Amino acid sequence: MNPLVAAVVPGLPFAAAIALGLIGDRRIRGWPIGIWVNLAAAGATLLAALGFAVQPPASSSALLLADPLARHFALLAGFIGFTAACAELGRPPAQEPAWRPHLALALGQAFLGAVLAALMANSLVVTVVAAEAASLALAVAAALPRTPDAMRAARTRTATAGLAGGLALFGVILLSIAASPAQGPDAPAMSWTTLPQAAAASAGALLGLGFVFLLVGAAALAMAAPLHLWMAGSGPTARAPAPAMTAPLMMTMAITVILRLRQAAADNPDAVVPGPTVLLLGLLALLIAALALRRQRDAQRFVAVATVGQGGIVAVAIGLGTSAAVFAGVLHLTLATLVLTALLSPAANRRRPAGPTGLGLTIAAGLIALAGLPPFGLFSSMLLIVMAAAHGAPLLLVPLGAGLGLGAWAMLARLPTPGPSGAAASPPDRATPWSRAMIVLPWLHLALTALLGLAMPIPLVRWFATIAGSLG
Amino acid sequence: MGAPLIGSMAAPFAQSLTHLFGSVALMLGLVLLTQRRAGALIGVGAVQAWVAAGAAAVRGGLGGDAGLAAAALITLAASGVAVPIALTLVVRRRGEAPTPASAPGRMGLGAALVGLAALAVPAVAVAGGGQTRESLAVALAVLLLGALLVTARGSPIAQLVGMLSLGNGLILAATPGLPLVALVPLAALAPAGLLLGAMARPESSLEAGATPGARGR
Repeated sequence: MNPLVAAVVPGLPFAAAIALGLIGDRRIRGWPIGIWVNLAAAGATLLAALGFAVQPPASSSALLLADPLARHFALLAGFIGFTAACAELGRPPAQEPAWRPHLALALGQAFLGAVLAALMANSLVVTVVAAEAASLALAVAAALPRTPDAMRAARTRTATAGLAGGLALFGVILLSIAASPAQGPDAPAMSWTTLPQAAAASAGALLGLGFVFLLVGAAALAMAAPLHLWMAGSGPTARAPAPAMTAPLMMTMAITVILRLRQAAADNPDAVVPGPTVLLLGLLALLIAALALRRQRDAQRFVAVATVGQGGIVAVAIGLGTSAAVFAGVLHLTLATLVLTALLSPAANRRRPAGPTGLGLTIAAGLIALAGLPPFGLFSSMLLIVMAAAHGAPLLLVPLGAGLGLGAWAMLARLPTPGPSGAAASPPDRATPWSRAMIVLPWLHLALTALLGLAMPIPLVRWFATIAGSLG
Repeated sequence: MGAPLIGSMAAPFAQSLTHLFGSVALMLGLVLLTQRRAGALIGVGAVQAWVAAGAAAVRGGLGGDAGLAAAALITLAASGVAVPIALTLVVRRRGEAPTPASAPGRMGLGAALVGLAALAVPAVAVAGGGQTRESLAVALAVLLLGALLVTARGSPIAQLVGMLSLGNGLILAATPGLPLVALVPLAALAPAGLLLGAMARPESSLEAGATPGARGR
């Protein structure tokens, strides 16, 4: 694939966002055009991401990264974007006059484009700026209801995005200064591909400081613990499709940055050892999330906190640093993203009539998956991480086991009421044939997770091994 | 990077000038923490953007980096002129917002952050308009003070000015040769622009209360 063609992957959602803004709320025979344009754009993005994953450019270019990690997560983001767009077909008509659906769709596409740009950019500066842009798109989406709570939540997220982006960019500047003597004046601009070689010969102390700033900035953009407590209000107020993609994809984006940083800093003997830092942050996130889950009553807040915990588990795997642990971490990140987006899907968050329903079963299956129980693949990935910890750092099993156990207990003991805040007092949404059909989408995510846990095809095992090998 | 725009004879003077600009920006960062009136907050923030842009322009000239010079120009035009004017108009139209009470502890925290920045930055030796340990420490201090302004004061005006101050810290740290350096000021300007847009809306409030920890300050 030509690098210029690969640039279509993040370019398509941005173009779709502009088109959706221009189309507005126009309808043909009662059907909003925007929903179909959104679906077509998401489908085209998924196809382009698939092409990028299967037939990547021969090598990374100055702006485009074509390594297995970027290809894998670009495909995952494209898939999640597509299912989120499909779920919009079943969304009930808006009740609030202030909610402009076309703007929500446009912001969802802008968010997806920014995430893809951050994942695929070879430039550190572009990665950070795109990650910040994704967070800002969510901030605007959070403000769409225009209620005082929504405006406050949007302002909080905007401020956090600016802060996190600033800290991360300062880290990039420090890394650039640290690497510049090693690279020489005629070397190509510093990028993710040149950073590992340059970092090995860079000033260790400055490199470590840059690593810390970039790590903190990336973690803040992903609402990692303890920042999630400050940010808890912004997710639930945002309008679809942003919430369906936000937290898991932000986590994916931040963790890819951390994975690449770990690889770069590990080659420099004088730099801060990245493994223990990431491991401790991961454990902290896991334990805080496990304890905080018990207090969550709202479904979306519950899933947002669960996302923090799942990110913590992945960070522990990255911190362990062995090939097996990184394999398990990337697998866990993939599966957790699929389950979390299934739980956040609008199809799984309709206000539903009381009593046992298919929706309730969907939520229950998702929570069982997140608890790490079979038959879902998170059982396998958690087991692999525990085995890697037992092999490399047996003492780690105590806090890791406590975090996993508390988290699983909270998942199973407190099944939250699905639906937005106050759903219990609200009348159920009017079910349409489309909305009933869209319940298949979260189940598609869950089925994929089960398939990858029960019988992962050999080519996929090789694929994950290639990703882990490229980071080892 | 191209040829240096500032000759080798003038280089030491230019280097001193960047240190002076950095120091003034740091002092203004501390002043920002104590401002209670919106007009003063906006004015001090604008002057800080001018000196940060000046430092970046001189550093860009020393290193022959047109990107850094462009970043300086963006900072000057947006953070130093356009946003302060727009913010002043919003404040005049909506009336002076109730400002949070002065907090002496904030100044102490600011001083501690400056000390932390001085301790955190290790020695660096980069030639050609690059950064020294001192200039990086000053840039980090300005950035942290901006972050403090964003988090410690609930007023949206203070948050916006803090965001711009954070961007000034970034532009002070930017060094010739950093790829896509012109994007650096945008990282602070984009959220600042969103905050400004939200403030300009008739239904929005200029009162404090953005962050749970900052209410009532």
